[in-house]
Amino acid sequence: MEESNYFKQIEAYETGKMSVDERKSFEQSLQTDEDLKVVYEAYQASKQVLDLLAYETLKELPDMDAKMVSISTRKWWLIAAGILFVVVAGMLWWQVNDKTPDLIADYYVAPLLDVERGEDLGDNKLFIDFYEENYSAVLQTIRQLNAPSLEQQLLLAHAYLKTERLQQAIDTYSTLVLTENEYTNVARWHRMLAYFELNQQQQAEAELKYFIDDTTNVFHEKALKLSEIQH
Amino acid sequence: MQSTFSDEQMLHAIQQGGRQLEELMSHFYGKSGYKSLIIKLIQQRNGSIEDAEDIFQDGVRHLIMNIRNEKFRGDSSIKSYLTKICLNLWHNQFARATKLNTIKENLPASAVTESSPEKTFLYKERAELLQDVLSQIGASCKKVLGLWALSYSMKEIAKRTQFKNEQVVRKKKHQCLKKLTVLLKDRPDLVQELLAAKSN
Repeated sequence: MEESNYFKQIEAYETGKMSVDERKSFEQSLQTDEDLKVVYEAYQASKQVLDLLAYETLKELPDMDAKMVSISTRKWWLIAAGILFVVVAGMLWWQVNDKTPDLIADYYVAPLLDVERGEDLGDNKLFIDFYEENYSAVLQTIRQLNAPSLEQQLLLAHAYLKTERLQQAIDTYSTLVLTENEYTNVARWHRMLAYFELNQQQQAEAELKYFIDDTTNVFHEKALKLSEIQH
Repeated sequence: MQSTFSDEQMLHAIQQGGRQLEELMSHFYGKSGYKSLIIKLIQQRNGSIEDAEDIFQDGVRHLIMNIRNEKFRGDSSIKSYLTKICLNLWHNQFARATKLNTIKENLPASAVTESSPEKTFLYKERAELLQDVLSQIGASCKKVLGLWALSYSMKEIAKRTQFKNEQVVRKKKHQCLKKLTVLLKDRPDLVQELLAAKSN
């Protein structure tokens, strides 16, 4: 039997989706089918890994509110004064430079990259370049690839966007939007930003409507905010 | 956001995970006063404020994982339990390095038995053991599985990642768990070590 079939069976067993008879049959197979037993044990061991991942994830959870509370109270007035200064300076600047907000800066969402992927050193260099905003290196690296992965295509499109090569960004995002994949949604969002920047209002508005209408979409709330600015 | 938590509410929030857990963590870092208490205790034991902040963060993570894994027996308050964990962490991680031999003498006896050094270092040791596997499942899988293991709903995970919606997250979680299982399958020694650690 194939590995993925074993996995399906194990998941069904572990999540209680098997009938009584199926459970009995599965438990019997565990005694006789050595391959199934190996995958089952690996599945059980993966629970220990999940424990570790949960522990690691906890490090990232305390949000800004929590961190702000931990700031020494002796410094609060300095921070308040700083904020006041920034607000006043911002208002003055806004009056002098009355222009539309920078959509790309405000609504761009940095990708979550597999930066620790061990074997692929090439990708790690690419990710580091990307995070260090060395977009020319990113463009150069990905353009040389014969068949860039979906993730690399996303980075390419982002690099175009960040370097204001907007039409190239739109074209690259569009290739990701064409087929349903894990980057389709994020590509569609950023393509919309590029449409706005290029004043392609009709396409941009249509895309914005898509994100507003899809209340389950992860960009839904951002789309609502963006809509307020645009209208 | 909830401003006060009874021990019972804390236990419930930790078991529920997701947004409730985040609110509780904000409480730990803020109004509970636990952080300042731990900082004071670590400073009294010759630790710096940075040491104390690290210890507090690790202590909170251990507390949550211990409760989720039903290692907390409920024979002390959450505050006492967290304090014991943090003092143990301080002892285990820094005492030898800073030659503070008196720390152990100052620890309450129950603290040593309740969270032994073996248990305290389990996560770090396990992480080292699994480094190769973890590096291969990738950051997005680690994030999705980590949040899922903390009982975040698929919708909450979608919000914290860039996936379109809960259906996409569900599919991703399935792929990641499968990937993890396959990677482990090819490392039978590691599987046996992990299973042995689980039964301990």
